[in-house]
Amino acid sequence: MDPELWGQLTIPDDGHIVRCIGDAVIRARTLDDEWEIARSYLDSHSDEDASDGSAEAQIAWTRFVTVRNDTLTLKPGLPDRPVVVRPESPIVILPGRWGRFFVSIPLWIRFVSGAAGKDTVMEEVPSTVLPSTWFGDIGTGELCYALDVPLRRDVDPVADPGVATCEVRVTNGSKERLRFERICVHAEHMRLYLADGRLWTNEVRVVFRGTDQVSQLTFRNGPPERHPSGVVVCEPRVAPESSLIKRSFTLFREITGF
Amino acid sequence: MVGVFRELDLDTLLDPGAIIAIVQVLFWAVVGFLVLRVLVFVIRRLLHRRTTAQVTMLVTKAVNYTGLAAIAAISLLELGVNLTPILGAAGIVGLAVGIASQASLSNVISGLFLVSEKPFAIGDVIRIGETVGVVVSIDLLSVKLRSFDNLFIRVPNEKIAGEQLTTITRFPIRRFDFSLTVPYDADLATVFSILKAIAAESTLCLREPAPIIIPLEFGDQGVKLLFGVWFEKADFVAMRTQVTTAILKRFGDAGIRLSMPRVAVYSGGTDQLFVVRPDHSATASPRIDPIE
Repeated sequence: MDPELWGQLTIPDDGHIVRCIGDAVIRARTLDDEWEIARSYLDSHSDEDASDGSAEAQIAWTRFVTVRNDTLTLKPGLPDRPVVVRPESPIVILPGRWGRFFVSIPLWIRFVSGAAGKDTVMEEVPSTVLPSTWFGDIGTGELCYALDVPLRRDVDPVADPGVATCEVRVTNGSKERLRFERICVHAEHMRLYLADGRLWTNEVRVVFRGTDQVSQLTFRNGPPERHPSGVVVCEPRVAPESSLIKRSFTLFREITGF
Repeated sequence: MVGVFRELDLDTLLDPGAIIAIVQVLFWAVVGFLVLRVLVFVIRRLLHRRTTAQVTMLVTKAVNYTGLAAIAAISLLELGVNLTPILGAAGIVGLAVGIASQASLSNVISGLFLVSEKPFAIGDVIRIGETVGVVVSIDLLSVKLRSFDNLFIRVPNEKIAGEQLTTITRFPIRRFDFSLTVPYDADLATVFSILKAIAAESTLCLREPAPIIIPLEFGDQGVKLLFGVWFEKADFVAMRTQVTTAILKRFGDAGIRLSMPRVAVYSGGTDQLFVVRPDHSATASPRIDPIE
């Protein structure tokens, strides 16, 4: 976790600090017993490079009343909805085989006030604006975020401080070929771990039992196997069940022609 | 307890025993009322997380009115009032009221069906006929709506049961269909790619289900298209504004003009005609071409 981006902010007198995490540009300043926070996104219409003061005037500050000499800390969090990620091309896992995949999940930025020794989340914003999508049947599916970054077979060698890496192990426990073109990861059930200078989530294990069966999805408790000394940075939003049965695949049987 | 009202004379009323009896009855009535309020409160809290808001409201109202009637009846009995004539009169009055209020009875029955069928809940946006609004309350006789221009609308349950009802916010996502007409000289492949790009670049359109683009028919003014995009139900106005703006801008940038009604006016004598064609540039005057 990059200490330059995350952690307690030290704000100069009569000024504000700027942090860029993912696509988000975060500004924070303090005035008496208030924190003032503003956020914008690099792909928005705001001109981040304007030097004539016009950009400064357009910043929309939100004021949070707290106490004098309060501390402000930026902490990472995971999305509040599941995320759907696609591989670059459809993947087929043969019967009895398994595969390991990696998902880069954009982080949420939490502004935490530390007044009176008690952490209070003042606001939470995504580091990247994620488009929404629907996963599953139109009647029984669920609302998710769509990730533009494809599903990877290996860890991204470049550690992006604005994302967490999620390892997904997919086992085909059926007697048929498992062909999928997208996978849904329930980020709201996951913990964040710090290990080896980057953020990781719980490992997710999916066992596919067959077309007519629901996939079994398990959140492995603890840090990723490859980083057993990982430290918990953020608790899950929704406590995961030990063995959560969820539909996690869209199976495209070749026989259907799709 | 003494039947103080059996002989309504001043001596009886001023009798200390009778006064004490009246005070006792009033005391127990007040206690009963408070107990009833607590009971209603507890029932409301218990049902709050277990069932819908309308069922909670109906149950608490039923308990409240039944309890009030029981307290009143017991108090009157304790005061020595003979309830038989009152109940008899109430039966006759009830019969008369029932005959006179068949519509209300129909509304009550329709209301019970609405509660059991649960086609919508408090907070849903529904459409009944031409009326659209947010459901404020669901009562035995009627459903109260608040329209988007902040009008209070009362719709009798009987009307809801007999008409087509649309619950607009039933599902988390919706599809909105834009109707477009592009001129016959427009390149449909370009039009399709622009519409796909608009949906893909919009932050409010869902990636899945994918947008649909269907040529509907060869119309009078051009090819009629249906452009359907999915969105979260809360984003209806924002999505519509964003996509409409994007369509106009992207089509304008690509030189594609959405078709609009055009009028050709012919003028002239029997041996020579003139046709007047509208020019869409702001400064141009109508062009007149001679027709051979």
